[in-house]
Amino acid sequence: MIATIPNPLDYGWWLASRSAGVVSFTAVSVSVVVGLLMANGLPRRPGVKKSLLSLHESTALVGLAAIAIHGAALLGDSYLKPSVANIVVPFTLPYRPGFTGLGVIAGYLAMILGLSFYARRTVGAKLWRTVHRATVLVWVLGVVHVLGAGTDAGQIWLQAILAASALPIVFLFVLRVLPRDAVPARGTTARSPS
Amino acid sequence: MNAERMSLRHIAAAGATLFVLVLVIMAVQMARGHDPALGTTPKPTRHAAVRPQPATTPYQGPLAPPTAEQQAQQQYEQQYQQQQQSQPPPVQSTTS
Repeated sequence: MIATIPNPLDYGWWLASRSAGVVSFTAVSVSVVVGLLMANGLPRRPGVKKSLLSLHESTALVGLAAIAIHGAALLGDSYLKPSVANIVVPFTLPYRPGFTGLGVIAGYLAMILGLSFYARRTVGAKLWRTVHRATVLVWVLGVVHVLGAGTDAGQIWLQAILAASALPIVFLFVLRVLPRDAVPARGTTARSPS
Repeated sequence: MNAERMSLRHIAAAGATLFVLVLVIMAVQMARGHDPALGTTPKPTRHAAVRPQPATTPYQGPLAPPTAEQQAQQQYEQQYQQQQQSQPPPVQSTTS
C-alpha cells in the first residue's frame, strides 16, 4: 500500500497561519521580556532605556501584525473553512473551540493593551501603567493556546521556543511582583529606640 | 524618532524573515511526509488525529492482485470456454 504525500501548495494558507502564529508568539514574548526588564529597572546602564523602549514597541507592533495574519490566513484554509465570525468571535471555531477561543481573547487583549500605549495621555499615565501590567496575561493565554490548539505543539523546536521565553518571563515577573523592600538596604535597618 | 523607525524596520524585517523561514521549513517537512498532522507516517500524538489522513489508493499496476469482480469474470470466461470445447462442432449444411 502506497500513501500519498501531501502537496504543501494545497495547504498554503494553513501553513501561513501556523508560521504567522510562531512569529506572533516569538515577537510578543520578546516584547514582554523587554517590558519586564524595563519594569525591573534593568539593565542600569545609562542610555539603554531608550533603545529598550524602542525594541519593546517595535516587537509589540510586529507581534500584533503577525496575530492579524495568523487569524486572517485561516480564512483561506480549505479544511477548516472558517467564517469571519469563527475567527473574530471567541469559542465559535469548531476546531478545539476552548483553546482557539482563548487565542482569540489573547489577540484582543494584545490589541487593547498594546495599542493603549498611544492613548496613555488620554486615559492617564497611572491608569495606563496599571492596565498595561496585564500584558503578561496575553503571553500566558498565548502559551495555553499554543499547547492546546497548536498543530506543532508536539514539535521539539516549538517547545524550545516556549521554554526559552518562559524562563526569563517567569523570572522577571516574579522579580517584579516581589516587594522591593524585602531586603533592607545597607544602613537603613531599624534601630531600637533607646 | 528616526531611530525608532529604524528599529521598527529592523524588527519588521526580522519578523518577515522568520515567517518565511518557518513557512519553508514546514512546507519541506510536509513534502517529505513529516508534517505533524498530515505526515504519511506520523507519530501517534494527539495532534495527528486533527487532520484527515491522506487518501490511500491500492496498487493498480499490472502486478496488482485481481479483485473479486475480476476473479468472477475470469471464472465465467473459463467455464464458457470449457463448454464451447465440450460441445460438438455445428453441422454445416451441404446445400449448394
